[in-house]
Amino acid sequence: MADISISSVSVEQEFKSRSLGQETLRRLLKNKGAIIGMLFLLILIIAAVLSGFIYDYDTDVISQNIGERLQWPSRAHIFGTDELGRDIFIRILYGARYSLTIGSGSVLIGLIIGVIFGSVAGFYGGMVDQVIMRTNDILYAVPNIMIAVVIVSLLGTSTFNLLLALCVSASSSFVRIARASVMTIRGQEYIESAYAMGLPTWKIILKHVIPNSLSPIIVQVTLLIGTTIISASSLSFLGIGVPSPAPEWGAMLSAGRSQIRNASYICVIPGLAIMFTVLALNLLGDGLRDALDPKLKK
Amino acid sequence: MFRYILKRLLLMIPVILVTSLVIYFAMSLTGGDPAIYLAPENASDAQIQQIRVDLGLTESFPIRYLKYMAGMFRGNMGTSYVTKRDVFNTFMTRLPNTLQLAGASVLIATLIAIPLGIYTAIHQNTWKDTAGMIFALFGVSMPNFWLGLMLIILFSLKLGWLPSGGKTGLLSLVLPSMTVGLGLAALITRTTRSSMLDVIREDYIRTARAKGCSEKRVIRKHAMGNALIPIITVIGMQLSNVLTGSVLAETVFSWPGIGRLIFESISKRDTPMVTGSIILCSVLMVAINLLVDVIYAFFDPRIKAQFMRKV
Amino acid sequence: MADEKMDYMLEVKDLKVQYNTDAGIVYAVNGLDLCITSKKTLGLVGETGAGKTTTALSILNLVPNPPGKITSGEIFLAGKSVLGMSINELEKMRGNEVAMIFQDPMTALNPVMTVGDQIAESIMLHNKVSETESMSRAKEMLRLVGIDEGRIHDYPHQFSGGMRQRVVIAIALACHPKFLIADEPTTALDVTIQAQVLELIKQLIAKSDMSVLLITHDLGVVAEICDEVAVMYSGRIVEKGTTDDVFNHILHVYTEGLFNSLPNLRERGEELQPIKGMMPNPMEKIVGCSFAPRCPYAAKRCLSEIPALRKMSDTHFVACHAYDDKTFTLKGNING
Repeated sequence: MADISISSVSVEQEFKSRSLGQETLRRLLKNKGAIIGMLFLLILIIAAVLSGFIYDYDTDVISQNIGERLQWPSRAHIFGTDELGRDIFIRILYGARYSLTIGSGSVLIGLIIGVIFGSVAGFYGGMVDQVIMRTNDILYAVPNIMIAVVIVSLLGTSTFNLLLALCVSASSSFVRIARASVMTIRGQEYIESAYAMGLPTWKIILKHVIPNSLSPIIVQVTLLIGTTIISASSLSFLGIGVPSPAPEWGAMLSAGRSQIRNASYICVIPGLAIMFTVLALNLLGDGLRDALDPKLKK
Repeated sequence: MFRYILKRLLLMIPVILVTSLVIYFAMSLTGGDPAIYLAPENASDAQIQQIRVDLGLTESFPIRYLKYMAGMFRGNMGTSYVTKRDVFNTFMTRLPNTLQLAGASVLIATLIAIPLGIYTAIHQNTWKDTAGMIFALFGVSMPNFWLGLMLIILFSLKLGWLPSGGKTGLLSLVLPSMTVGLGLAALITRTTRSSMLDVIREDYIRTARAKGCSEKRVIRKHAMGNALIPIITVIGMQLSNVLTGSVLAETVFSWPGIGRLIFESISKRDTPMVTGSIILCSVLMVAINLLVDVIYAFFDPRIKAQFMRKV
Repeated sequence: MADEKMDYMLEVKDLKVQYNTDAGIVYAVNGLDLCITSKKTLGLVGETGAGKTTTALSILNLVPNPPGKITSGEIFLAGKSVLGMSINELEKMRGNEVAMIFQDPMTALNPVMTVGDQIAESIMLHNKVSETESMSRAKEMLRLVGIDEGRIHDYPHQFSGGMRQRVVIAIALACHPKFLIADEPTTALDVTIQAQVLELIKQLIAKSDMSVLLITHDLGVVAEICDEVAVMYSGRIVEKGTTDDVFNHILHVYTEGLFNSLPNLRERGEELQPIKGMMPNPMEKIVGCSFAPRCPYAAKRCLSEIPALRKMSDTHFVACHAYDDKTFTLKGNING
C-alpha cells in the first residue's frame, strides 16, 4: 500500500530564540542548590585570596605557640588552636588555597591532556586509538589514590608530585569524553561538508568538535574538582600528600587524630571545610548538568 | 558461557604480566639494596656481595623478573625488609580482613541505597525525595576518613558502644564498614534514583500499565529489573574505590588489612612487600572485574547474548 | 450526539485534557465528543499534535499525571464511567476488557523479559490459571499473530520491528478484549511490513467481536479497515461519520483540505495542494473555532463561538457554523 498520508505542515512553536548560553544560564539560576554552591565557592575563593594578604605565612600559619595549644573554640580563636598552638581558623583559610589550587589545577591540566589524547584517539582511530584507549583504561580503572601512592613512592612526597599524580588520574576521564564526542561528531554530516569545503583538520576540531562536547566536559570538570579535593586531602591524611607544616585540611585531620580524645574539634573542623567545599562543587555540578541537559527531569 | 569465562581468564594473564612488569621495573628503580638489609651486622663486603649473588640480584633484569614471576606462582615473592617475614604469606593473611571489610561495606551500602533510591524516585519532587537527596549529597561530599573520625567520636568516645580500633570481633567491623559503606550508599542512592527515573519513563512501562499491572508490580517487576542493570555497573566500577576506601578506613581504625599493609610498606620503604602487594592487588582487581562482568551478564539478556556470540 | 437507543462501546463527552509543563500549559484535548458503536471500527484521523494519543490514553485513564490532567468531561466504556473508577477497577479493566497497542514497537516491550513471559503476564493478571496454562495460551497467541511458537523464550531484541509489533498485538489480544485501542500501530514500521501487520490486524478484527479505535494519520488505512471515521483538529472532532460519508460526502473544510493534500499517484504532474496556514499553538487557549484562521468560509461568529457537532444525517456530523445556512455546500466538493 502506497503511503498516502496527510501532508502535515510542521507545527513550530514560537519560542523566543535564545542562545544556548543564555538559556543554560537561565535554567541554572533557577536552581537554588546551584546558587548556594556558587555563592559558597565565591566566598571561599575570596577568603582564600585575601588570607594571603591579611595573614603572613610564617608568623600566623605555621609558627608554633605552645603556650596556647589545644584551646577549644573561643572568641580569641574562632576555631580553637591545634596541638602546636596555631590558630585553626587562619590555617583553615590558608588551607583553602591548597585545596582549591590543587583541585582545580590538576583537573584543568588533566582536562587539556585528556582532551588532546581523546580527540586524537577518536579522530584517527585504528592503532592510535587502541593504544591510547588501552592505556587509558588502566589509568581509569585504577583509583586515583592508588596512582598517587605509586607515583609518590617512586618520586617522593611533595606537593608537585601530588599534583602530578592527580593530573594523571583526572585526564583519564576526559580522554573518554573527548573521544566519544569526537567519534559521534566525526560521523555527522556537517563535518563531511566542512571537509568538502576544505577546512583543515585542526580547524574542524576547534570549531566544530570542541563546542559540541563542551556540555559533558563542563559538568565533569566541576564534579571532578570535588573528588580531587577529597583525594588530595585523603593522601595528605595518609602522609603522602602535601608535606607538613602546610595547613592542608587533610593533613590537619591527620595531626589531630592524636588529640581526638581531649580536643576532638581538631578532627571535626577541617573535615567540615572539606565537606562544604565539595558540597558546593557538587551542587554547582548537578545544577550545570540539569541546565545543560535538554531533557530536564520533571 | 563457560568458554567466555575461560577466554577472559586467559586474557587476564597478559594484563597481569604487563602490570607486574611495570611495577617490578618501577620498584627496582627505587630499590634500596636488599642485601644490606638482610645481611647480619658487621658483615664484610664480600659477604654482602655473596648475599647479592644468592638472591640473584646480580643477574640481568629480565631474568630477575622472570624468576620473580615464577616465584609468585609458587607463593614465593620475597621477604619483607621490615618484618623479615614472607611477603606472600603476609599478604594472604591480611587479605581476608580487607575482603571482610569491603564485603560488609558493599552490603551496608546496597541495603541502604537501593530501597532509598527507589523510594525517592517514586516520590519524586516531594519532601521525601528532597530529604533523601540531601542525605545522598552530603554523603558524596564528605571524605570517608573524616566520617570515620566522626563515628569514632560519637560511637566510641561519647557513647562507648563500639570499639575504636583493631579487629576485635564482629562489633569492631561495624564502624569501619560504615565508614566506607555510607559514602558508597550515598553514591548508589543517587544512581538508583536516576536509573529508576529513566526507566519509569520508558514505553514498556506504559505497556505494563496498559496491561493492568498494579503500580507495585510495575515498579517491582518491570522497572527494577531494568533499573538494576546500570546500578550494578556502577557498583562494579566502585569496587576499586571500595578498596581504596578500605585503605583509609584501615588507617583510621587500625584494621589489619592489605590497604594498611601497602601503605605502611611504602612509608617504611619495604620494597619487596610493596612490589608483592601491589602486584597481588592488581591480580585481585582484575579477577573482581571479571566476576562483576559475569554477574552483569545474568541481569541483562542482551549482554548475555553478546557473551554467547563472542565465543 | 449519542443516541440512547444505540449500543455504544465507547462514549466520550466534552473531554478536556491539558499538560502542565515548565514552559506553560499545553491544551491537548479541547472538548472532544466521540462514540463508537459496539463491534464497529472507528478511525480517528488527524495530524501530529492534534491530541489523538492523549485521547486514547484518557480512555484508560493512563494520561501521565503529572504533568497531564483530565480537567473535565466524561468517558464511558460499555456504560461504565472510566473517570469514576477506582484504581483496582481500572487495573482489572486494562488489558482485559480494553487493550491498547502503541506506536513504537521497538520500545514497547520490556527488554529483560521473554516475549512468552510478557504475554503470559497479561493472561495471569486477569485469569486464575497456572503458569503452564498461561504459557500454552501464550504460544497460541504467538501462532495467532504469525510467529513461530518456538520463539516463546526469546527476548525482544531478537525480533525485528514488525515482529515486535505482532508480539505487542499478541499481548493486547491475550485476554480477548472487547475493545481495542490501536495508536498508529504501523506508523513506525517499514512500508512493506506495514502492509503485513495491517492485514493481520484486519483479520483479527474480522475474526472477533471487538470494537476498535484505530488512530492514524493515514487515510488509506482508514479506507481499508474502518467502518466509521472521526476527523480531529486541534483537540476537537470536526467531522464524524461512516467511511462512505466522510470520504465521499465531505462536509468540513479541513477534511476537504486533507484529501486535497494527498498526492495523486495516478495524475502525476499535478501540483500538491497544502492547506494554508498552520495548526494553532496548543499552548494558547483558543476562542471560537480553532480552524477559523485558515478557513476560507470563516465568518464573525466563527471567531467567538466554538461550533458544536451538528447532525447532518443519522450517521454524519460536522462542527461548522457555515451549516447554519441550510443551503451551504463546500465549493470544491469531492464526490465519488
